[in-house]
Amino acid sequence: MLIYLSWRNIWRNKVRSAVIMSSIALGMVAGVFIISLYFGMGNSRLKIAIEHEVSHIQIHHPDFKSDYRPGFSFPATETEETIRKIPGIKSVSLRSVTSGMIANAGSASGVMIHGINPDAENDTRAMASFVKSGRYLDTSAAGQVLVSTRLAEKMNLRTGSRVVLTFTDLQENIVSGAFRVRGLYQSENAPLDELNIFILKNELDAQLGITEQAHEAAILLENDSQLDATASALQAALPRCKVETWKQLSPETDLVISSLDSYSMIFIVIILMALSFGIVNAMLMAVLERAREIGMLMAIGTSKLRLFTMILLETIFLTVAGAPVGLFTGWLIILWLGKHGIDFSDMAGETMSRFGYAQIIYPELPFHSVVYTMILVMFTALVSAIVPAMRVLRLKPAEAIRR
Amino acid sequence: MLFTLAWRNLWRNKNRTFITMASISSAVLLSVTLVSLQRGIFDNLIRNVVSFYTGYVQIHGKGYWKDQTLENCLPLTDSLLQSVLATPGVASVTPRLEAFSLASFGETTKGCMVVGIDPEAENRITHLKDKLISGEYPGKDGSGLMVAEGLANSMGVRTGDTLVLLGQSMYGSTAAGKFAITGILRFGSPDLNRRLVYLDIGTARLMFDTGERVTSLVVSPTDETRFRLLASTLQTTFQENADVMTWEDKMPDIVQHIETDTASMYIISGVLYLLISFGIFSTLLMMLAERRREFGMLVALGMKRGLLARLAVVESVLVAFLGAIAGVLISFPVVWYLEKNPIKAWGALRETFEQFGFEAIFPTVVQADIFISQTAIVLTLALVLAVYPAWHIMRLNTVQAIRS
Repeated sequence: MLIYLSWRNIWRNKVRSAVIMSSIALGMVAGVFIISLYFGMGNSRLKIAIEHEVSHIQIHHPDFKSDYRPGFSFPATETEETIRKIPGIKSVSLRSVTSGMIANAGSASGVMIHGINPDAENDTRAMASFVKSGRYLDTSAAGQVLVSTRLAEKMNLRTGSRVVLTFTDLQENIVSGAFRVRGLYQSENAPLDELNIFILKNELDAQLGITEQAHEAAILLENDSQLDATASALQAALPRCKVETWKQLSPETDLVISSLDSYSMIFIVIILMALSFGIVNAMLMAVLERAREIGMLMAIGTSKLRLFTMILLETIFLTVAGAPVGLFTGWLIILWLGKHGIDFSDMAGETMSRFGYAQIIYPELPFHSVVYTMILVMFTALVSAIVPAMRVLRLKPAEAIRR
Repeated sequence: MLFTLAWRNLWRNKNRTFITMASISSAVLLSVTLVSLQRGIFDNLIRNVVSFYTGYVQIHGKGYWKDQTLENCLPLTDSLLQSVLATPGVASVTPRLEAFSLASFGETTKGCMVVGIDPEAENRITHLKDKLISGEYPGKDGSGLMVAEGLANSMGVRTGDTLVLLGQSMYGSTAAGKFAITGILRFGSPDLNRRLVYLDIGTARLMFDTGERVTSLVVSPTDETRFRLLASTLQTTFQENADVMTWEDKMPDIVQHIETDTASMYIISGVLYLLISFGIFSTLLMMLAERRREFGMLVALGMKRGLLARLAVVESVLVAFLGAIAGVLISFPVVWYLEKNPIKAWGALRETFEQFGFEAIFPTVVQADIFISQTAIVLTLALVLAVYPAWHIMRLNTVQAIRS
């Protein structure tokens, strides 16, 4: 009976109902949009961190990261075979890494020298796509080095320039070798680039005095969600190595992503409050406008509880009708934006890429957030309905009828 | 006349007026809160990052930043220090002498950055004392050395151990010294934690043979938001013999991070304005629906539509202004409260923040320009929307309206 009454009430004033319904729908769109925007930003940062920087998982000798001594290595082929046996591994790149110095006639700079197998490195990091001038390394590139554009600018290097790399070998002797710059690369994370230079792994190994060893294995997985499981499987298979995930390898990425999460939460709360004020206002007006009618209902004996429930039911109907519309609209918008992206470069210029963001953000709607937003919006709508419903209880029948 | 009529109309139906006002007040409240939160979060981030090490403004010897050798350091005379301190907007100044060295203990040798400081003045600017996790902070004539935690761990040293520092003096000769570790410091930034070693500036000057020179003067402004102005004032004063840099010049990555997030914040504000406009519009729509008959009657009685439309606009403008004023009055205490009792970061983020040495809070800032700009924006929205009732009146079907 009460449900029927509420339902009829909604259709009595179509303009008003449409207004409330659309503000609920709009709130839903806003919530979905903000979640997707921040999720997209976080994802883009994460994708870059994983696919272009640290990979999903890295394996080192337990002491390697604190000292970078050439001796802190692990057997290359054997380890790679062990890794490849674990399911869900997409690619593996073994590297020799040492800290050293790059110098030319005019200047010198401290760098991390990475000895790589060009193909494996390209599979895990898309390294070849970062090369801006000159060429990427290949097996014929003996005596050649890949440096970042930023380092090149600082040291005044060009493709073909001669440089000298100096570092210490396994026996702690200082060794140096002359190299030619084969190409200049630039990844999304320019500050990090400056530190990293790349040569062939076998050349670095020979200079360091190690054979069949590696210092770092970077692993890309098929699927993000297998991260923790694969990491613990790897750790069990390689008890003498230290297995780390991107969260440990790149804590700043974790910081950026989790602060994005919190920002989006705070902003959603503010947006929901805006929605809530809108609904309170609209419903209050709806109730006060109908003061006479409600007074009449009271006068003929409708209990206050029933009236209260009636107003709540009206809001519930409007919410149930509005939220899916909003969700659907939001989904369409996100679908479109997810395809075309939001170009932040107009607003932030090249600044984003320098910090390791892509310039175009593709918002993405995570499914669990849909449910979550829906619940939040509906909850907000219901809470907002309580104020007007309470106002009804304060009406005095005799006065209300005389209005 | 029009004004009186509008004013009376407003108070004829108090409930409706209050509700419309409330929609505008809440719009002002929310947009002021949103923007001051956005700005507060960034200011907090900057304050955190700046207090890691760099300070807001630094003065270097000419050419030092490009070529960081002791040859390019800054002769620190008393008159220079006095004139920096006398510059309006300067709260405090601390000198630093920074030089790369090797640190040795037993078999291990590590590269490190030796920083000679005036312990007391340094603490005023970067709160170095708070970073101490064991040992003691040097007093006025403090000798002894403090090591960053990461470096101490990788060398396996504790307070009480003696560290040998080996570097190059200003004139190219070997600079060496043996120092007992008196304290261990923990820095949020992994990079700083890995390489900093602190000495008293007097000791450092003796070791590197720089006489009265320093590599940088860290200046802290009285008003943190006006560090750029301070930097340019200092640059004009000392353009002959020094370079002045702000944290923005020194840490462009942080600036970029902030600009990126600013872009996303514009979008969020846009969404909020959209919701706000809709809220205001819905009250206008309902007002029109309720007063349809009244308007129809007035037109039928011979009131000029133009006059009636103007009346509706004046009413809307009045409500908008009253609502906006109320909004500012409500939002001020809210924003002020959130500045004093900021929202705290929760869950995993809290740990991540603390790991980096950030204060895990999201504070607001109370700044006049936020109130002014946000109120102006909301008012503009409300005034643009007020055109709708006027337009509605101009094309009102009188007969139907009266019968409704």
